[in-house]
Amino acid sequence: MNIIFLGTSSNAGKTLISALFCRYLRSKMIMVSPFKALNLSSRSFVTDDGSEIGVGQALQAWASDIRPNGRMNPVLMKADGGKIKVIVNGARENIDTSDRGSLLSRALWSFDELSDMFEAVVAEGSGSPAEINLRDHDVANMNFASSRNIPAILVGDIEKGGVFAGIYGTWLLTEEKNRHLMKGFIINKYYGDKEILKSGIGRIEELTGMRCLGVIPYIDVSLPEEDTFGSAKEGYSDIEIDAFIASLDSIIENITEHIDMEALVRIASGSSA
Amino acid sequence: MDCLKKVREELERGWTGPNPDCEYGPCHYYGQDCTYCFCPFYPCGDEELGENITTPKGKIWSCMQCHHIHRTPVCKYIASRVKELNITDPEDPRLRGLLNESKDKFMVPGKAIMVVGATSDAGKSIAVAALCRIISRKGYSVTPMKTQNMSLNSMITSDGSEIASIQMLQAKAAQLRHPDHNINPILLKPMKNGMTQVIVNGKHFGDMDVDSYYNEFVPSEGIDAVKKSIGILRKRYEFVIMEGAGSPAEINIYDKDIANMRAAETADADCILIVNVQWGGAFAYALGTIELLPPNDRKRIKGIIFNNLRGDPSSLKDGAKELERLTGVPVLGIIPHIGIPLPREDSLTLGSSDTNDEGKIRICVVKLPKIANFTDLDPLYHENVSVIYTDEPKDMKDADVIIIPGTKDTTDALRWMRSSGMDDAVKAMKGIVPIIGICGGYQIMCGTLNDPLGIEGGVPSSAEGLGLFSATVRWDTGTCKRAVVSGTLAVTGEDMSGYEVHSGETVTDESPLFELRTKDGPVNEGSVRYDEKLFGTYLHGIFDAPAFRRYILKMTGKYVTSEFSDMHYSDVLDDTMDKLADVFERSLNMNVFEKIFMGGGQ
Repeated sequence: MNIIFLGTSSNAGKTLISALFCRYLRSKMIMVSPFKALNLSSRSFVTDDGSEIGVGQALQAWASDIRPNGRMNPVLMKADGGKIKVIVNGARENIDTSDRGSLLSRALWSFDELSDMFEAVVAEGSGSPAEINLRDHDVANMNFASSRNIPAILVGDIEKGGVFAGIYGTWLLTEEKNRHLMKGFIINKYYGDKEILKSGIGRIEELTGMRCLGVIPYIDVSLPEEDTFGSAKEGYSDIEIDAFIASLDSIIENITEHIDMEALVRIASGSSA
Repeated sequence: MDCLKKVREELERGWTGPNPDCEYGPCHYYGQDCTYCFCPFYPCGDEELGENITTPKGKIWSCMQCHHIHRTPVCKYIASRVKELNITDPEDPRLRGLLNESKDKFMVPGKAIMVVGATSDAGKSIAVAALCRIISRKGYSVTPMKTQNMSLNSMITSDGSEIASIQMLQAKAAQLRHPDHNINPILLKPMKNGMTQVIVNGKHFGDMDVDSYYNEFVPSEGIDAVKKSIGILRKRYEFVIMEGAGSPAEINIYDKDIANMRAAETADADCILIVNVQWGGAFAYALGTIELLPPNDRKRIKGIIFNNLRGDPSSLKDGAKELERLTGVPVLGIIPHIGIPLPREDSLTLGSSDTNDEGKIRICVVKLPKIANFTDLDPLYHENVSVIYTDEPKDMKDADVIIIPGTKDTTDALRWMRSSGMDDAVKAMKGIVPIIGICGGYQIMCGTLNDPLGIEGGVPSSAEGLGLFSATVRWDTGTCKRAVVSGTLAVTGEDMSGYEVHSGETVTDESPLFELRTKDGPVNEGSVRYDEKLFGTYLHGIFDAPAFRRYILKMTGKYVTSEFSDMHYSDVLDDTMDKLADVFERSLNMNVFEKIFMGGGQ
């Protein structure tokens, strides 16, 4: 059982929605691991085995009731005083970052290991999958998903406007051979009356064949921001982690109002939604 | 002055062109032709050119908005016809015929260009400002316009209309002397409980919820106001640079949107799509926006601008080419992230990026709910100060200056100050650092706030303010002030100016902060306690002129003359608009821009 959440832009809410889905699967007694092939972040978390991974994957691991480990984020690119440090499978390696092919194969190796160990792997993409100027360099989005035939869900943030354009444009820019993987979309950070969105959602479903799997309000969870180059906090206290998990649990209580979790499970299981 | 004598001289002299060195100019717009400084057709009574206005001296014919007689081709034509017909007498009846001839020949609707954004915060406002300045510098008459703006930052035009501040700034970029309500015919000011105050043509029209706005107002009065203003502006100006709102591709409300493609259609505008690259997904947003528009509207998108790039533009080039291929729309250029402080538009963008922590003087602004008119503080960003918006009471003790800004809802803001402990935190600084209340902030500093008719809060109320001034605020007198004023700072006698827009009035026992010049003589404004360093005023824009800004900054004891600017903010902004236009001119392919967007112009 695999799924990948992609974003129409950064900060669309991939990390949180992935964490929620991990938590939901866990609540259904499914053993699940998070995964992000490549993370560009200055904030990292050091796992028990001494690996450095993105904080988002650490939080998602806790949401899955497992301990974070290096495979969950095989490639971490860290900005460090103007240079970019590349950490592959937890160790700082001196590798050629322009050779995305080798980065992808290392990422796939970690993903395959997780797939063997867990019933489900919930992946998240990085940035937007539609950066056509970087398509050949993509490790974390469609190049990864298509290598393992992983169904994808697009997350769009409605708060900054243009969400329908963002979703439709991302789908249009997905290579035709990969479009069959784009199964659905989720509209995030919506405050108002869902009825107002209905005609727009219907039109996007009709144009793309993707299904709308959720419209969710702004969820206030204290998730650390990944992509800002702020001060890196290397660990969290148990209290912070417990508070995070508790807030996920309280969201999940009413989550079916917002996200069609069962459809997501069906998509992840390889059946059509 | 003998106007007939002046006109006689003009008729004899013939065409003279613009007079950029005139000490009074430009009277209408930068680049105007001054051959007919005194109009040979005055008073023409032509409602397409001017209007009757009422002044203290009675009714007069106003030409403030007439540009026809100040356009070079018109002036040249009239001068040559005057010569041909040998007209020398200002009262020659044939002159009237010349006016109509020149109107028939030259008065064609101006060219409209609309900047739409793939998302909000895409950079539409600054793009419109930059294009206005670029086109103005080429000597054309140009105006900005946004049909519908949702903002709590508003200003008062010289004809007493309330419009969004950002359109006033764009008018400054266009180097206009007398912008009026037509550049922002609909202003929406969000209130609480989902209600919105709707300002139409600069005047309060009504308070509505989303449903009545879109289903009742928009199809009738809304679209009418938009059409009327577009028509007027296109008649007056050679170029109308319009700004869309949010994204034009909100397909769920497409038929109710009068701020984007419907306005573009009304104005027959060619459109530029601007995309902020900061968040990623720029190509997808651009392509998706264009592809979601109905074919007729899609055809209007004639150019794409990528905005806010930090880094090397060559990294986007391949993607831009691909996008051009997919859409058939040229990418006009890639604008870098602009590091100059620009006025902020709405409270959605008030965040950590607005905190500059490196200044010498620390100015803490109490971040009230429904904070309004925080453009008042923009001039401070050009000084050696840190402007910190905060809702943390503990920040007050580190402040060098505390400002309580305007708010759309004073009583609600006061409740928040009580419950958060901000009231005590501010009061604890009394006499230690300057505390300045502006508009709603001033009302908060007063003793009692009486709203027996529920004008401010919706329900009748009476509340205790912070009691820093011995003064009472009342809303029951029905006062609602909107005016541009000038006067002096009482303590130094230096000139200052500002504008008022508020409901409620204050009855105060304190000394006045300002003395205003009005047609009825001097009027006191505001409250001040020098020993306790307390300042309260209804005036917005008080930091624009250097007098009050310098006075307050000096009071902190950290002011070193050489480190601070003595410029009027208006001049700073003028400078900023030039710099902005320079960046756009450097980053855009101007040949392509002129060919596509200005070729059809005049």
